[in-house]
Amino acid sequence: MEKDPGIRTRGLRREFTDRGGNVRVAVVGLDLTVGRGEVVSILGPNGAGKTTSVRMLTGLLVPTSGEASVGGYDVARHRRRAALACGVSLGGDSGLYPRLSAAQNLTFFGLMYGLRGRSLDRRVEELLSLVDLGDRAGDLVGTYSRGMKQRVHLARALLHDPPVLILDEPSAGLDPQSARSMRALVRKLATDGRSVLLTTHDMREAEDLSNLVVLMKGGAVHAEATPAQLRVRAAERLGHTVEIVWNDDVPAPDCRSCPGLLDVAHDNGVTRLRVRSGAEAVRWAFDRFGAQAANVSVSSPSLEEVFLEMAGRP
Amino acid sequence: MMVRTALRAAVDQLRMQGLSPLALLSGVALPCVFAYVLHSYRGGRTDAELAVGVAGLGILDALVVLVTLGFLAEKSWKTLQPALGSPGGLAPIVLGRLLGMGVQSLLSIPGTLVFLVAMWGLAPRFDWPRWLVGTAVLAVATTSVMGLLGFVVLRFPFSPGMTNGIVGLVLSLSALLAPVSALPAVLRAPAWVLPQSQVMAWVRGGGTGHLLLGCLLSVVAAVAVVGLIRLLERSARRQSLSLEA
Repeated sequence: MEKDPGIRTRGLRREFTDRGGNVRVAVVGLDLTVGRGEVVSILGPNGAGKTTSVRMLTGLLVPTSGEASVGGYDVARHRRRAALACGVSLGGDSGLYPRLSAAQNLTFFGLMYGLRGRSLDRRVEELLSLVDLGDRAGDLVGTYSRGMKQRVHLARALLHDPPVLILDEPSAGLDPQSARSMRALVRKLATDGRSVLLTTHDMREAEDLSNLVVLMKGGAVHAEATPAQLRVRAAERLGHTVEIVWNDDVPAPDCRSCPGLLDVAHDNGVTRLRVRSGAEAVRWAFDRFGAQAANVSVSSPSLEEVFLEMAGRP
Repeated sequence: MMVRTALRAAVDQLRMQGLSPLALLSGVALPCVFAYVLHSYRGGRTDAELAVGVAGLGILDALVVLVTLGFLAEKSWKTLQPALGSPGGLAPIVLGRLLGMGVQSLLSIPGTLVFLVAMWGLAPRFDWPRWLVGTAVLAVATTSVMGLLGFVVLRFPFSPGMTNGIVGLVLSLSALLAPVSALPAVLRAPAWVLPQSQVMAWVRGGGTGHLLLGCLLSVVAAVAVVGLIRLLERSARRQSLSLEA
């Protein structure tokens, strides 16, 4: 028998009605599956429906129609069990008690999820060490930086060792070194068999961590694929970028004869060509400028470019 | 799980706000001013009736301030969202906080008594059992009733500027704790609905029925608070009610 996926939604829809009786549809028929051991990122501009989707999955909002299950439990019919199967980190500066220490905050949240006694104390200690806050465990959270609070949020999500994690911008506010550690930790949590759903604006984070990226716009899924597939598909529309770095004493030559050229830009000894076929353009560059070029590289559009193209398209 | 969470919420409430200067001011200093006014009409020494009445005012004032500011703080810290998403929902956290606030308000009991005795001395036959039972029941009754204020603060979007308004409005309920016979006719009936009025009537020499009715009305208020919190959870999930300030 196939195991339940960590997260599954089918035709999930949420409407909001204002005081004038006008109905606004925030999420339209969302179908999403996050398997065990998978990391799925939801990307989208503001108002795309990401937050509403996450709020429905975490039991903060009842769906208007459709189904959603977390850890095999329907979020509307078995809300408590679904809540126990899910660890949520909504991140940011708030959501913690500033007048309690990190250890006291985690102890309180641990009790909400049925942990208690020495096992709770040990778990709190273990998680604070995991997120590098062991030496600041007794300090009031109000004195923490945003990055430190972000780490407390992640520790809170992990307290009851849930099989599903929903993380909102887990590395926001972290310095590059801490962000890298956070990403490594998220990767490890997925490798251990957890289903991880990320909502993020950090394209690098999404590309680095995700097995699957879901692009949302206007409440609906606009595209759904691996980061590599999204970039390849976008390259068919946007073209590839060929970057030629010229030797020090060489002025940038005229590249307008490059086959399939869409756009060209020169900047500080580097020429960037946007072309239909990367391979053909690279061959052309080597044939023509082999001796003058220090380096020639080709790349498909970044996830950020894919996102910006999607956000700008009607 | 829910009982442990509620007890921890009560303990954390004391950790966070236990020594709040505003709580001390409202629970001890303000009722002492009332005491001076009340005493000037009575003369003589501090009897149990005056002591319970002043403590009751202190408990009420302290709870109005603690409930309003405490729950507004929860909204501004955005800590109610994770509570709503937890298996037990909002109820254990909100009830636990109310319990903690009720415990905090107990400071009014010795605080006001010390003041009264220092100012006017103790009556020769001070009725200690009546003072003790009366103040304890008053604390429970007032906490139950102030749970309704807690619901209002959590349910409706208050701006910080309006906070003073709601506090002032509810503080004016203190007037209903005056002897019911001293109130204008129009206020007598609603005053008897408050459990505090029934308890005070017992302290003033009324029958045990007043005390029992006070306890019963406190239970009714507590049940109403639990029901309203469940309603709040339902509204938050169905109507996307904001639990943030």
